[in-house]
Amino acid sequence: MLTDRRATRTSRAELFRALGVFAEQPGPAHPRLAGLLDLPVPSVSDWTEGFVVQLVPYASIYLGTDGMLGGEPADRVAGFWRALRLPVPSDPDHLTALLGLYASLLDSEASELEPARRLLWRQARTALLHEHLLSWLLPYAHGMADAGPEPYAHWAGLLAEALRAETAEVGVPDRIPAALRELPELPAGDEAGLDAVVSALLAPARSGILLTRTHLAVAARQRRLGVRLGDRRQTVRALLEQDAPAALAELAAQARTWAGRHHADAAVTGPIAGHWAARAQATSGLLIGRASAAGPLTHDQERNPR
Amino acid sequence: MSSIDEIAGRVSAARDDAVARGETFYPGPSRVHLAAFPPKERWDDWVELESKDWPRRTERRYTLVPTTCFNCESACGLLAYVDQDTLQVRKFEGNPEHPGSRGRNCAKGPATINQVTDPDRILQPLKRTGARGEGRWQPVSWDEALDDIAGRIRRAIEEDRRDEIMYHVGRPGEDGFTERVLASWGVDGHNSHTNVCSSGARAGYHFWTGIDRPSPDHANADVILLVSSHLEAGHYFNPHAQRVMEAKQRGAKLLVFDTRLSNTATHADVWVSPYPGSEPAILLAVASHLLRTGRHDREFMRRWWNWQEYLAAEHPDLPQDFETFERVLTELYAAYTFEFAAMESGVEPDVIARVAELVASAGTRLSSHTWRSAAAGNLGGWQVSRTLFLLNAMLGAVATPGGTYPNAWNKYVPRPIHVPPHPAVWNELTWPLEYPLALNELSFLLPHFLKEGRGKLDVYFTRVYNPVWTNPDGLSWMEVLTDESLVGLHVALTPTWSETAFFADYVLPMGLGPERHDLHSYEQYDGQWIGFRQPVLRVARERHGQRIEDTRQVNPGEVWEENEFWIELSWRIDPDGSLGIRRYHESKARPGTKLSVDEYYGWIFENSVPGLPEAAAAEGLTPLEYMRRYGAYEISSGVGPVFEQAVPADALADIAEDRFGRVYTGAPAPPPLNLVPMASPEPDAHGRRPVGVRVDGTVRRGFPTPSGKLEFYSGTLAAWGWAEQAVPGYIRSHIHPDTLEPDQLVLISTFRLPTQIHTRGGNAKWLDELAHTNPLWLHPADAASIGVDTGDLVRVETEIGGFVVKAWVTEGIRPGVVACSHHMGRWKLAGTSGQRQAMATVDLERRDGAWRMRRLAGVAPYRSTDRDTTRIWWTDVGVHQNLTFPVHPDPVSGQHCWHQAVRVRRAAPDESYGDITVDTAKAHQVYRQWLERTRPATDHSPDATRRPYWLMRPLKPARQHFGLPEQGVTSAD
Repeated sequence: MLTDRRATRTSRAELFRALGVFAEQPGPAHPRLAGLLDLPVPSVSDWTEGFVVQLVPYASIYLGTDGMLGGEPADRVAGFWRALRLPVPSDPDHLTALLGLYASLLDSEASELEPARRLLWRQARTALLHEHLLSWLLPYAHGMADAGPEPYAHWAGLLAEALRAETAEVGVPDRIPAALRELPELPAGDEAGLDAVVSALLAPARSGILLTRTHLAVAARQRRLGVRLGDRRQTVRALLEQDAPAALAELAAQARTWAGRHHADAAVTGPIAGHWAARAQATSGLLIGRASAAGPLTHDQERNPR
Repeated sequence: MSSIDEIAGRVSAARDDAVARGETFYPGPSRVHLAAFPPKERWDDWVELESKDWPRRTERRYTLVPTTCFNCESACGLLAYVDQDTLQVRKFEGNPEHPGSRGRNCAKGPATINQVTDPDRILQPLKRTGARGEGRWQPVSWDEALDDIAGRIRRAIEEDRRDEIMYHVGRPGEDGFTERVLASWGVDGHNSHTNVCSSGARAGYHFWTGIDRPSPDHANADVILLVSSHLEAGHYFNPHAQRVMEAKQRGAKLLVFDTRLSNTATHADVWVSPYPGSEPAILLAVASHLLRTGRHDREFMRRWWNWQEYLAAEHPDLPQDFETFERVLTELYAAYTFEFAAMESGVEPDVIARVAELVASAGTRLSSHTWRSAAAGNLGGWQVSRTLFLLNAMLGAVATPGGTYPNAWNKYVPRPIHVPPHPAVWNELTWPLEYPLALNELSFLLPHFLKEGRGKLDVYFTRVYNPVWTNPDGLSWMEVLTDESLVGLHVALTPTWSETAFFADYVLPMGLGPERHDLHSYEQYDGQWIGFRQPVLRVARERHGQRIEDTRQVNPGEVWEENEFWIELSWRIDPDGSLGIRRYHESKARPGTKLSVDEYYGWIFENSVPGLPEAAAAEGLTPLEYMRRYGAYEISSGVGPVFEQAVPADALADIAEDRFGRVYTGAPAPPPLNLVPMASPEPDAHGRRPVGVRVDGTVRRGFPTPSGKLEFYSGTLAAWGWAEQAVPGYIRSHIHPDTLEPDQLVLISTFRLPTQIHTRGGNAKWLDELAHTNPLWLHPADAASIGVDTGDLVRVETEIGGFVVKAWVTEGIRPGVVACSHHMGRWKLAGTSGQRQAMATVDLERRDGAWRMRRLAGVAPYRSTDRDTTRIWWTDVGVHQNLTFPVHPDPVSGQHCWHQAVRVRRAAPDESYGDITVDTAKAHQVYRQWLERTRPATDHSPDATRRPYWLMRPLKPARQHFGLPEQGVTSAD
């Protein structure tokens, strides 16, 4: 880690460092940090609800093809650490590791006296912000604001505000990050099986939406459907089994809402917001199409009985 | 200001305030800081749950006190958890404030608690009552022991028998304290273990740079080249390994030369298993590749190599320009092709080519390292480090980020309160005329020198050192230690029993890591730090308001610490000050009174450590209080290429310059605060001191070599009879295949077990449980030809005897080579006390002039104050192979060349595990044979001195005592 105690520390860097530490499991630092950040003091159960149950804080989950931990998105982030000649931590794409790295780059830039080197630090910092933070963190913050316990919902708002402030300083991304390029579209057409659709829905960068347990519970409540306990895949399936048109219509409505939120981020994240919004819009359209199709959807297994 | 910036400013200000208060702003584990340590502001009162009370949640309060591990030489920081109820240490963890170890430890650090509570440790001074080695002891007071020892030393000094006083140290774990004690006595009696350890590697580095240790910046390297697994898996294991792994995580390539598949080799991108001793051939092939492909850093070489001196000496008829030198150099190494290196090493040419390409790709980010290993195993092993550093010198990877630094720039040895002068005497028992270029004492030849009548010892200290077990030819050591006409009084300063302490007259219990003061600094990255070892119970009690005058008040039993011991002993040697000794052990604050350790270290921290007084004042502490609280202080980081620094104008008065640009000045040198060991190039004929070297018109600091540059060409080697070895080259080892009989194999005996550390690890139950045997590594092809399998007994026959050990058949070793780890085979004679967790009980007898050792029993469970000793499940403790090795002193470096030519056969039915036979008469013959390889100063000195004055020497006599003795006289005096 770049934590030279003698380096110049900037206030912004300390803010990102504090936001990162605040997202770790609550410990002795949290009451003091909560006071400084104007946030409620979180409990361990708050943290578990926010970062274990609702929104696991790894970039790869939000940027990957399958919405899973690790894989190519994590390797890409690890490559960024290597490019900076830094040891790659065991969780290179973990939110707090990335915030700590960003804080370190801010400090390195501020500490550097030589203009050319300072420019290099700034470029590194900008690349991290554009490629690995803004690519997923504003949607993540929106999701946490919806689904997280109060301390972390407020924390997410502060994080989003801090990211906006940074973008105001270094500029809006002028291109779409590598992680968001060439992501497969959602499967379309009747030939697409239910499993493939559900998987794609739960891969945020593909679908443009973050379906937390809270979002699914809200969908169920809106349509008076039961919520099956289990992983989210099972929960979505259960909703569709109960009343596919209703469930699809509700998820389509959520996707429209997400599209609107992403659009609103365009001033901050430019083409990134465009990607997320387009995907959410497409998801909404796909789900509406499915909902209006005749008859309920069936499981893949039912189409192809073994 | 936006609201976000208001919040950011608030957080930042709060952190600044916390830091100013000496507090931790982000305590607890976090991916942001990777920190999971008790915040330092709570070290006075830290609460943890009592693990033994689980599932009840019982809170225990601790005072956390930093100290330094005393096991290997890394000096990693420890944090002692002192129970506030019992005022005993409960455990040790890492000290997060330590810049070298950064809060991390290897297994040996936490195992310090085992050493403290070892039921077999020595807790009071003991005096021999029977014959030496008989194992009969009686308790004796410190006063009685000190008076006896001091009286003998005083008489020796008064009778001008100063050479009969000798102090023999293992790893010192401190920087120069005891050398200064000996200097204060006017004694040239320092004897280190270094010639059985690292002097081969040191010599190679020293001839290049004038500094005898490297400091590889592994963390920032692109390519890490290790001709060893030694430091990365043994000595500097923890500080180096963590930085090697950091580099690997960000994509650096790790190249490991090690005949054996070491722990380090298992992490390598390229593991090269060369025939032992062929390493320089491979390195020169890489060098030749760099030259042939033009990948060398021409500008660095032109500016910083002493190529002009080389051309003038070796090719005076050629044009004296760099282009000619390049051409000559390319021709010089042209014969070192990949194919030649492959023929010598048994490594495929394409593997060597891959290594060469990776090295070439590193540019200035090549960190390289060798220590012990090949440099300590082979005749000419010093050329291993010389050819390895050649690659750094060719790439300009010297003192660059990711390169290799001379250690003196990454180490800080603060000037102490008193600095006695160089002794006015030369001790030929440690610095004999046959080895004028040896960098360290010919320590392991001492028994042979004594047997030859070169001298005798009246008072011989072994200090946490065990030559009977550690050195080759241990039974020759035993023979002289039991001969009172050769060794008048043997004083063993040791925390635990050892094979050498058995043959002492006094065994004096010395403190372990948490029971003693020491100050030290080691090269572990491009920075300078000091670490403070301290008696933690003393500090804990002082934090709770008690006043401690003497560390024995808090240590277990009557265990003392060495600083107080040496000060007290020096006072008793010279009670009235008439010998001029006492003044170096007196208080400055209260003249005429004894120096206390508080004043000794307080003065250093106040006056000799830049930045420390200010850092302490910022926290409202004195410098001593700061060091007692944190245990370490980083003086600087990012030191960079010191050799490039321009010499300030005020240091350039009355200058003279030789034809190669070496600049001498008449301006006096300011007294240095940093007394880090390095060479001292000689002044010019008019007494001007060397101050720098002119490079492209600017006088720069350069290197502490005669030329001021990197000495590709060593004029010293050339002038002292070794002209053919004056440039980096390849010396065929004493175990080169050409020298072996068809039925002989090579035995590698130098490698370490990461969880043991020579004698020092034997009193730690956790470490003993982890590692307690040393089977013979044997390639399947060799095992098949011998007809053995894993677990079978084999007998290994050396030049002077043999030992019986178990076979371990593995492809982790190349065919034709076998390996057996050091650290194992501890023993005690039947009927004597000893360390029962690690020592087998043996019978030792001499029959027909030869020694025969048989194992009577391994270790077994026993009742003691520690219930764990009833749970000992292992019986094996390995085999003491070093007893069967004769001495092999390298004629240049003086390093013992450890590799052995051996025959291995299936053990006979009447041979048992652990059997050892040794013929010490043969051992003496082998010593004589190796002595014939030397080129003594009497025949080769170019200036009628014993030794080049500029070379480093741990305790250096005054300049006028370097003269060769007159014929028939054995002392410079």
